Order: sequence, then structure tokens, then C-alpha cells
Amino acid sequence: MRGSAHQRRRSLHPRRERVVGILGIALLLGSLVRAGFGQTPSVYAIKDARIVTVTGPVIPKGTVIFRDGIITAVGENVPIPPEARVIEGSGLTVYPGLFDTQTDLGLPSAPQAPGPRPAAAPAPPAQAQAQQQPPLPHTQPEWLAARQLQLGGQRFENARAAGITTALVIPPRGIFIGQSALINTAGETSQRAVVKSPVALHIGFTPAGGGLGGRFPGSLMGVFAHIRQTLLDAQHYGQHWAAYRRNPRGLERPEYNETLEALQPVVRGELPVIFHVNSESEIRRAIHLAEEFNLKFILSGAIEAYKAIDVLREKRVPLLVSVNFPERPRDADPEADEPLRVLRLRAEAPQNAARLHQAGLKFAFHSGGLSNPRDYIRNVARAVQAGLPEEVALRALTIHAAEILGVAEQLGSIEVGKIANLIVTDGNLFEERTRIRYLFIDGRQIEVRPPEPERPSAPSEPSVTVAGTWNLTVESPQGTVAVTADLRQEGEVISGVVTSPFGQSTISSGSVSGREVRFTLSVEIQGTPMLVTFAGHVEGDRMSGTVTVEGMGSFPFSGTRPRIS
Amino acid sequence: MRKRALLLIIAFGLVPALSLPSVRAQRGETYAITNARIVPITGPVIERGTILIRDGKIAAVGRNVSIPAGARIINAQGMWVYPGFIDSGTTIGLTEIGQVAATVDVNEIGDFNPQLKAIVAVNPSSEIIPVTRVNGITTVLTTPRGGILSGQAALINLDGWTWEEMLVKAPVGIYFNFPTIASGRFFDPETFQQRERSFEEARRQREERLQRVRRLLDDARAYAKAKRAAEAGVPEGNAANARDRQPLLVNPVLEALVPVVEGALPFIVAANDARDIKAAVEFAEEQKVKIIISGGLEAPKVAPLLKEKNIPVLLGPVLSLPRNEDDPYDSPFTAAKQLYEAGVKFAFLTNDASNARNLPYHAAMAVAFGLPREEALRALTIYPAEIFGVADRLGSLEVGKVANLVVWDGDPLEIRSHVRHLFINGRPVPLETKHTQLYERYRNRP
Amino acid sequence: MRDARSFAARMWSLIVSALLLGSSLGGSVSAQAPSRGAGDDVTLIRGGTILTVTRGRIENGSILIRGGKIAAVGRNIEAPPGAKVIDARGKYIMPGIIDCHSHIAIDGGVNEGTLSVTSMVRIEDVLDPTDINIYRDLAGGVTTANILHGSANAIGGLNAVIKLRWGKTAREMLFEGAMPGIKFALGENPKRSNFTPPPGTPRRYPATRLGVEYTIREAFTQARNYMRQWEEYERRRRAGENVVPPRRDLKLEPLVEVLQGKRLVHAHAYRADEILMLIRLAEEFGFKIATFQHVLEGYKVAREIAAHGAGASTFSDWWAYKVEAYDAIPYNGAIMARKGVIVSFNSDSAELARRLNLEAAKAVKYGGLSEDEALALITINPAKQLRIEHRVGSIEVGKDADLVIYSGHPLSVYSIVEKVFIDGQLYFDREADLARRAEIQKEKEALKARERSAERRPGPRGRPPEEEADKGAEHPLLPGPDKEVRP
Repeated sequence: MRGSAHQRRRSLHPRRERVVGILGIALLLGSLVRAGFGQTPSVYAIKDARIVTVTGPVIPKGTVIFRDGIITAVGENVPIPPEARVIEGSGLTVYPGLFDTQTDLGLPSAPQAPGPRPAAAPAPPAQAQAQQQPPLPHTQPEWLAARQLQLGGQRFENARAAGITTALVIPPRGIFIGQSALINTAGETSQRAVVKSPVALHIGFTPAGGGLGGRFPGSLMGVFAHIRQTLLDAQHYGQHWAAYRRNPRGLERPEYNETLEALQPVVRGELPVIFHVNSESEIRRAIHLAEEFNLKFILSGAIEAYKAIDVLREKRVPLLVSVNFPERPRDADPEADEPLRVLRLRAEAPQNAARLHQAGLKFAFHSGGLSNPRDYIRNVARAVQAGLPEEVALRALTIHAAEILGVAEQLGSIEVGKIANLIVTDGNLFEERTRIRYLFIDGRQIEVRPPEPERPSAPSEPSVTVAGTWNLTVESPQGTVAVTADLRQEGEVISGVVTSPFGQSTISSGSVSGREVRFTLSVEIQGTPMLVTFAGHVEGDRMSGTVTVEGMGSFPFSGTRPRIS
Repeated sequence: MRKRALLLIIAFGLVPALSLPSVRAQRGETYAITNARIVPITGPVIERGTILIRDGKIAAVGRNVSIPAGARIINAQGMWVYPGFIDSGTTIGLTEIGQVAATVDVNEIGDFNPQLKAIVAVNPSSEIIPVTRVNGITTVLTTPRGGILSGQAALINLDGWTWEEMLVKAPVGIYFNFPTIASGRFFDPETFQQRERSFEEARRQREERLQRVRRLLDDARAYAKAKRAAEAGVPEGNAANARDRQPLLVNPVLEALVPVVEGALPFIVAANDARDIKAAVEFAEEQKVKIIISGGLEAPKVAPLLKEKNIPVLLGPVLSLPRNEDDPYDSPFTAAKQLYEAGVKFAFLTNDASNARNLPYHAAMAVAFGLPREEALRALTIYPAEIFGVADRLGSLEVGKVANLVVWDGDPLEIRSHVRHLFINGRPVPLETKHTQLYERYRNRP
Repeated sequence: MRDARSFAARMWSLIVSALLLGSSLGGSVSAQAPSRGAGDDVTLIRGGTILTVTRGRIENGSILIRGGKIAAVGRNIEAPPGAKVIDARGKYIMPGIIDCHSHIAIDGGVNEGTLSVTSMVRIEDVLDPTDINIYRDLAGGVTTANILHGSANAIGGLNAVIKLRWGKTAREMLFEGAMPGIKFALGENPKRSNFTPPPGTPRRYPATRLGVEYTIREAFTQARNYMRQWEEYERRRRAGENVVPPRRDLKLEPLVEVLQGKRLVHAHAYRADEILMLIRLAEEFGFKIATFQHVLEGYKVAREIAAHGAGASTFSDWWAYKVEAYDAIPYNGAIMARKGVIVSFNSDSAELARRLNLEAAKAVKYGGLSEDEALALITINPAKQLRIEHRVGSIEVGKDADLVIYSGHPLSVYSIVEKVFIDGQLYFDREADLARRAEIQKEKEALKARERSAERRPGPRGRPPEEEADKGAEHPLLPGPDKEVRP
């Protein structure tokens, strides 16, 4: 985590919103909500901007209007409603918000507690110490990303700063990894951010790490056998229940099984499967497996897809293409004789998308686990340099993603009736210097932190210790608010509890780097959760900085950590 | 037919059991192998000649050799006589069944064991010994392999009641597993996990290990000086204080390294990567020690350096896979030819025990891929003898050398050939092994 | 918007990509893609010594290949117009070698070692066509290989018989129509006696040979029960009852196929008693073992093996690496052959597979097999063991044109492989291999140089030094955990 730039951050708003203290607006909002008056009407007009609609021609100078999160007008001469908040767009470009079609953003990194019931396991081995072991993480089809989602924190900020407004969230590895959710990268609550769930069942080919004596499946072929048997069991389950429902008389009652239940839409061909595959062999194997079970499917990763164009074209497989191009490992042996096969792959990987396009294949992009979302856009730019037409790259970041994931009616382009997920930049999206000036998700303006400065970040000193109890005061125009932060620190990760007049909240994410500390929590104010982020600078036992309330503004704070001898 | 019967009688008469060493020859037993094609190695082939064996040595070799009365005559018409082959790297005698730890004495605990002697643990009853010698290998270098400095290698004949009887020369060198730079993913047997080691870390580790060797050698040098001084005694007239006359307290570990630091005994350095071989050569220069490279599969890449420094290579196993994915498919097969063309002296090894018997076929593969056959034969005989400093006794069929010789019914490098007679130390060695016995027994099962 | 520099970069990328697109077809590195084109369908190999294996030797003989098959074999064969002619004077031609026990080209683990019965796993699912050992074994004359699951389990996984069609996809390597098989293992390996489990891992049943027998017996009992369940279901369904089929069990179905004689059992076994044990068990359940693998004590019970009708696929001379291999003798193959067992020599090793012709020669040395008998050990015999002898294993009209041209007699140590044909196409050519070596090095140097200079350049391609980028080592496509550190 880099040091906070909060002290140096300047406001990006042309006009600062009305500044009210936390106490004030929260109470006001809370009371309004309670009274059932609904939210403040929000209409925006971005005028005189270059508008890249994606599905239509570029409008060199036009206006976009959106109300309550939906685009209501797009065009050259569009009347602007009087109550609209107008954003001066000359010199700026409006794009649809970008998609990252595979990321674990918002998902807890630690393996989740096992699901309630193990999947239909292979028949217990002869005389086995037949321990019914709990299932391993990411081997449960019924796992839903939407349930595990937690918005907020540095990662979401970085994603938005790169222009990503919509993401398909799912862990990268596992066998039956789970069912992904398509989310916007901001929302009043985690639930509100969900655009679609489930989107697909994701299948990967990661062995459970069994080796000799570990958990099944320990080998790649074991993974295939497990997937196959489970899908067969799901088909059988469906058959059995269907027969039972038709006529239960005389029939053995099928048991209810959550795992197999979750697979029913998959084996019926209703819920698509997304296979996580990258090499040519993996791609071909996944297609073969999918055909065995007549699955509706998409391939995600597909770094070597250009080697399998024959079968991809023949089967018309939609692709979510990773741009996490393989790089030469920095800490590897400089004299190691890397095989030609590997060298070629590294040279060819950026051309993957261009070749897929030349072959007439449809694809969208994803970040492939790149930790810095700016690298995501940069690598898409590399794909453009390697021969992919820029318009196609843009489509792969927007409308193709929406189409492949089944939300083309709502997202992916700037069209009347679609959701107002928009980014407003000061230049061409794929140029290095371009910055995002404004960002809208569901029609709400979201603060965009300037992206991290491109310079070595290594703090010269080890991070300070911030563990302990801090007595902080927040300066709001309404007055000071006393807050106590009970921080725990493990390495550079911060956790703990913050107490304020609104109660106690657990820190959802926090980090310390050098002397800069940052932690985020959700504070419930009159039933409405609001995301609050503290960004401070620590000197000894003194901390000072800025606290930001989502969508409202930032206020200075400071405080001390009393020494207890 | 009669010849065969005679041989059978001799064989059965002499051998009670399989794995016991050959019958003790009476002193003065003389043998004459006649009508044979003789391949002395160091001289031209004798198309039809006689070899006379007496008192364990080669008494005569030539076209016209007079055979003394009382000599036992072996008519080797249609056959060839070669010197016994030498395998320059095995663990014979130190291991029996690879997976059974009780039978394996190859790896001792600890990184620095230059004082351990392979010879004292050689098991003369190992079934592997007869199995190996009946394919024409009479002499092997056997070495411990554990840690960094593993111990003292021994050159042994594959016949003898005790290890003393088997001994040709020990120590021949101190086996040195040159630390390699091992980066990348690896399986850690202690934690049973996949771990990753960066190149920097691996390089540091290697340096650290080499540094420990350096310090040990520094200690050995100091020890050597003290030892020589103590042996020389304090010079007369030197008003030495009684206190200065320190007795030398013997340190067996350093003692073992004294001949190394004095340049009398080489390190046998196990290294295959070109980078490691080069580093080993530089290390030897720096430390002023002699080395022999063992393994050396990538030695051709640094052949000029090896030639310049006169460093020989115990090459093999030839029958192994190329080390890198893009290496030519025949790279281990062509290594010998490349060393030969670069003027580097080499011998062949199998680095095996149970199948050291296939040594000739490693050499044969090198011939198939370009090494001249005569060179291959030398690398099985006189070159290892020279490298190990026993060329006065072994490695060719010359008068005065030890009678380690083999009578073949064909080209020994060809698989389909058989050994018909075997002599080690001038004594005939039975051709029965555990394998021939089991063969006889089970082919006759009704 | 794009400046001149990035335009140039883009053009350069297009050019390079066009070149690389051409050169990466087929994905192979050191081998050429087999030649294709009109007239390449017909090839005449002329003037060599043909070792047919089943029909004796033909001096100064020729082989006509058409449409991937052997169209004619004899002394005087005219080259049809347009045929490619290969001068084989002074050379020897034999059938492509068939390796009956191989573990090359497997991705993600040779063993599913977590359970004792893993008949649901399939080698076919995880074939890796980019394994360089395919090429190396091809360069040693192997044209067909039986890729087996490892020996960690009493009942292992399903095999895949492949032809070493280097450059093709995994599915394209499968030997069409080869009878499917399954791997069993007896003795020390499946009972884990030579292996200490990692800390915290419970020991896996079985730990004795008694348990191994029971594990197999139990599995077949379950398979029989499974068959009965299905028969019962069928009966009731036909009788019009309201029934649902039983749950399909991928573990038991291959065992049912064994019982029905539709799947070949390849059983790794060493000791004489366990060989007999499996014969008795198989006969009790009414099936035949297709091959015993390794079967190093087979010579002790050769009569019983022959009587049962199992083949034996063994090493020439490995021994003493395990207790159960301590009585192994290099005469094993010859004794079994003389007692009527169909014997093959296999490699169980990518390295040994390169010289199976020399392993065959050991059967002449140890046991006195004839030249044809020895060659049969690596050609027609393994073909029979795999039930593919109607397609491969000898040089006869109508069989697949899987052929190897040697510089000399294949049983001589001085002979090397010069050309290898599979289905009439040239998959290995030593001359071409030699010529390509310099090109490969040049291409590697060029790619490495480009990478280094790109890294030094700042901008979207080059990276700021301390940037928080993903380490390439984590990348899913770079050499993964299987890449071992060489000691």
C-alpha cells in the first residue's frame, strides 16, 4: 500500500459541495429518509464534451444527460433541464465506464469457511479412514460472490481511478470456484452495487494440492474426473427430481442437495459456465469438456487463444481475454536457458487480441489478476500497439463485455435508457498521461483520487506502529466530533474498531505504509450505512489527516495515542 | 565342445557360491590366453597373439610368446582380449537396494566430511560386484555423495575377499559436490511444501557455501604448515623456548585436506552446469588446489578453459536426457566427441551401482554420435588410469601391469557380445552371478 | 493522436507478429511440421534392408507409402510419378517402436495418489502435446506409446495410447480406435512402504499386499453390484415401473468394462506371488489381464502367466532399486518368451525410450533370443499387447506407415535414427534437426535482445523500476511448480 496522498490531494470538483459536518448532514439525511421523502433528485448534464458512445458514431461535441442513474439524452443539441448539475465538458471526453470481466475485487482474500454441505463426494475409498472432511474453498458451486462482497477500500479506489466502473467478481482459482457477480465499483451499499448475480458458474482446474496422501483431487486428471462426476451427479439429480415431481408414487425420494441444486441451471444450459483457462491445451480441454455436457460456456483468461483459433471460431466461443501478459520474472536466474516456447509466448502474447479480432472472434478484456488497474489499461494499450484497432479495444472494454455477460441492455455504451456509468477523461483513454476527471456510477458522482505518481515508492523507513487506542477529533463546520480508534496492526495491515457518537464500527480495510495510515469503515447513521475513510500521517503518538465521508466531503482530524506505562 | 566342458569344470570346480570373490589363486599360478585378437589400447591390435599371466601380472604380450610348462591354457580362438574397463564414478559396494536405507551408505550427515573413507564401507559381498564385472568392468571408482565435501573416493578392483584385497588406490580424491545456484520453485522435503527461491537468494546461498569451503581450506593450510613444522622439528641452534615446541594435535578433518592443499590429492568436483564448472575451475585457481570434474555434461561449453588448465573430466552418464528444453536432443551423446575435439582428457562414468555393467554402452553411444571408437576405448581404460595416477598398473595390456583383462566373443561395446573369461589381479574370476544362478534355476522349472 | 514512434512500433509489431504467426503454427519448437502438399501423399523408401519383423528381412528392399499406409513392400518397386523418393541404401528400416509403458506428455501429475482406487481419472484429459520428451523419444524411433497412470494406487487411472505426432494437438495424438485400458499396481508402490507421508497426513489404506488384494477385490465387487443395479433398473423400466436410473459412477464404469472384456488391464507387478494373486483374482471375476508391467519376477511364474494369456511388458535389465526388484534378472524376458508369453520391453522413462532398440539387443545377449524375436519385443509384441497389431508393429502391406530408418542395424550400438515416419509423414529427420539448431539459437537471441531493450525503454512498455507489477513467476503460463530446480 502506498502512502496516502491525502495531504497533497486537491479537490477535483469544480465547485465544492455544501460542506456540512458529519453530524449535521447525517442527521438531516437520516431524518429525511425516515420521513420517506426519497433521495435528493440528481440530474447531471455533461455538456460540450466529446462523447464516445461506442455503439454509435463519436459525437465530437455534445451533451449527455442522466437522471437518477439512467441516461436520458445523448446528442449534439440536447436541451438541458434547469435543475441539472452541469459539468463543463469542453476539452474532455466521455466514455462508458469500463469493464473488468474477471477480478477478485471486493472479495475476502482468505479462504471462506466451508459451505454447509460437502458436494457429492466420490464413493468413500475402501476401508478408508472415512473422515468426512470439510470441503475445500472454491470447490463449491453454490458459493455466491454476491454474498461475500465488501465494497470500499484502496482497491476500489484504484479501480475507479483507472476508469473501471463495472467488474465481474470471482476468485481466480479453484475447481467449482463459485457463482460470480457483476458489480459496479461503487454503491451506497455492497448490495446496491450488484448489477447481476449470478452471472455464471466459474470452473477452474486447480488441484486441491493433494500430492501423495493429500486431499482429492491431487492431480489435474483428478480435477477433470471430479468435475465430470459432479456434473453427472447434477444431471442425475435433475432427472430424479423431475421424475419425482411428475409422479412420486413408488419412487425413492431424492434428497435435497444444495450443491447439486446450484448446478441445475448449469446442466440445463441456462446458467453459463466460465472456464478459467489460459494455455492452448487448457482451452481445448475445456471446450471438449463443455461439449461432453452440452454446457453454455465462455472461456476466461485465454492468453494463448491465438493458438486455438480454429476450434474457437468453429464453436464460436465467447472469450474474456486477460491482458496480464507473461513477463520475464525479475528475480530469476539471468543465465537460465529459458525455452524458446516461453520466449515466443512472451513476445506473442500482446498480439493475442489482434489475432482474435482478425479471425472474427468476439471477446472482452479483463485484468487477469494484475494488481494495479492502471496496468490493465496500459496493457490494453499495448494490445492496441500490437495491432488491435483502438475501437475494437474500446468495445472489448465496454459493449462486448456487457454482451457476453448478458447486461447489454443496461451497460456498455452511452445510450438513452442505459445506466449512467460514465468516465470523463482529459484525453484519449489509452494514452499514458490521460486522467479521469469525473466518474459516475449509477448516475452518482464518485470522487476519483488522482492516480499514484509514477515514481519509486519504497518508503525509506519501516512503517510506524499504529497499534493502540487513539483519541481523535474531527473538525466539521458544525463542530468537533470525538472519535476513538482502537487499532490493531499486523505488518502493514490495520484492523480494529472505531467508536463514535454513532456507535461502534469494525474497520473493513486498513493499511500503513511508512508514516501514512489509512483505514476504512462503514458507519451506520440512522440506518444508512456510509463509508468513512481516515487517511492520516503519524509522528510518534500523534496522528493527523483527513477523514472522508463517501459522497459528502472531507474533514480534517487529529489526535493522539496516550502512552500507558 | 571339449573346450567348453573344460571351462565348465574349471568354473564349477572353483566356485562354490555366487557372490564370493574368486577362488584364491595359488601364488605362482600361470595362465596363457592364446590365439586371441589382443587390444592392448596403448599399442596396435595384435591379430593373433598370446597373453601370459603370472603372479597377478601380465608377464608377456605378443604374437610369439613362449608358454611355460604348467601354465593353464585358454584357447581364445575367434575372441578378443581387452583390458578390464574402469568406471570412473559409481557407488558400488556402498549400496545394495536403493530404497532400503539399511543397505545404503552413500550419504552421510553433515556438509564437510573429507575424512570419511569410502573404502572402509565397501561390502565385498555385494551382489552388484559380480553382476558388474561379468560385463567386463574390472575396476571402479566408488565415492560417497553426501553434503558438500563427501569423503574420500577409492579405486577398487571388483574382486577380493576383503576390501584390502580389492583396493587399488585410496584416496584417489575427495568428492566435492560443487554448490550450484538453485533458483526457482522447488519442493522442500522438510516442510513438504512448494517453495520459491529467488536468483539472488540462491546466488547468496551458493557464495555462502563456497565461503565455508574456503575457510575450511584456510584452516587446512594452517594445519598443514603446523604439521610440516612439527615433522621437521625445531632446527638446531634455534634458541627455542620449550613452550614453543607445541606437539601437533591431530585434527582428522583437516588432516584429510592436507594433501589437497599441498596439491597432492585432487578434489573430484561433481558439477554439470557450465556455470558451475567454470566457477569450480576459478575456485581451484584461487585456492591452488587440483580438481577433476565429475559429471561434466556441459563441460563442452567451457572446454577451452578446461584444456588450458589441464583439467580432466569424468564424463557422464552419457545416457541421460538433455539438460535444457532447447538443447539438441543428442547433447549428452555428443559431449564426449566435443571434449575430444577440444583436447580435453576424459573418462566415462555411469554414476550408478546396480547397472554400472552398462558402462560400455554409455561409451558406445558416444561413438555412435561421433567419438572415434579408439578414443572411447581409451576413455574406458588408460585415460582413467592416468587421471587416477595408476597408469603404471592398469589401463592397458602391457608387460608389468596388473592382469585385469577380459576375453570377449565380440566387440565389447556391442550389446550382443559376451564375456567368456575374466581375470582380475591375474586370477580367473567365475562368470556366475546371482542373475545367472536364478536364470539356471528358473529356466529349468518344470 | 498516436505519434510517429508508436506508429512505427505498431508496424514493427505487425511484421513480427506475421513472422511469428507463421513460425508458431503447430506450436513445435525444434521439429518441423510434417510436410504437406500434393504428391506428398506418396513416398517410396528405396534400397535399404527392411526388417519386417513378421516376414523376415528383405535386402535391398523398398517400401511404398500411400495415404499414410504401407502400400507395397518388396525388392523392385517402381516409384509412381510424383512420389517423393528416399534413398535408403546402406540403411535399415524397421517398424516404428511401440513403448508399452510411458509417462511422457502428462500435465499436472502422473498419479492421482490421494485415493487407492482412481479409475475415474483419465490420462486422456491431461495429455500435454508440448512436452519436449515427445520429440526426444520420437528421435529414438518411438512412434506409439502407451501413456499410463503411475503406480501409486492399487487401481489407477485410464490410459491413453498415442502416436508421437509431434506438433499436433493432444486429441490429434490419440491412437484412433485403440482399445482402452486401465492401470493397476501391486506391491511396494501402492502400499506406500517406501514412502513417509508428510507430517499430519494420515496413512492411506492399504499398507500390505493383503490389503492390495482386498482393495481390488472390493472394487470389482462394487462393480458387479453396480452392474446388477443397472440390470435391475432396466428390468423394472421395461416392466413399466416408475423408476429412475441409478447414479452413474465414473469410478465403477471402467471396472465394468474390464469385466465385460472391453477394457485392457495393465498391471504393474514385481513379485511372483502377487503376479499369481492377480491372475487368480482376475480368473475368479472372469476377466483376463492384458499385460503385467515390469513383472520382474515373471520368469519364476512364466508358465502361469502364459497359461492365463497375459502379456508381459518388462525392462531389459533394471534391478536392485527396490526389494521387490532384487531378484530381477536380465534373462527375464527370454525365459518368459520361451515359455510362450508375449513379451515386450518398455521404458517407463523418457530417457530409456530413446534407445529401446538397444534394450531389445539385450534380449539377445541375455537369453539368446534371435534377431527377429528381439525386434518383436519392441514392435509386434507390444502391438499385440495393446490390441493394435492390425494397424502397427510390423512392415506389412495395409498397416500404418510407421517406420524408422536407421543408419545401421537397429540392434547395433553404432546405429542411430535418421528418419521417423508416422502415418507416412516425416515427423523426425535428423538432417533437418541439425540444420535447425542454429536457427533456434538465433531466434532465441533475437527475442531475448528485444525483451531486454524493451525493458530499458520508459513508457507503456518499459516500466518504472519500483513499480508494483506482478511477478512473472506467478503467471499461470510460465513454468509452474512442475519446473524442478536441478540439484
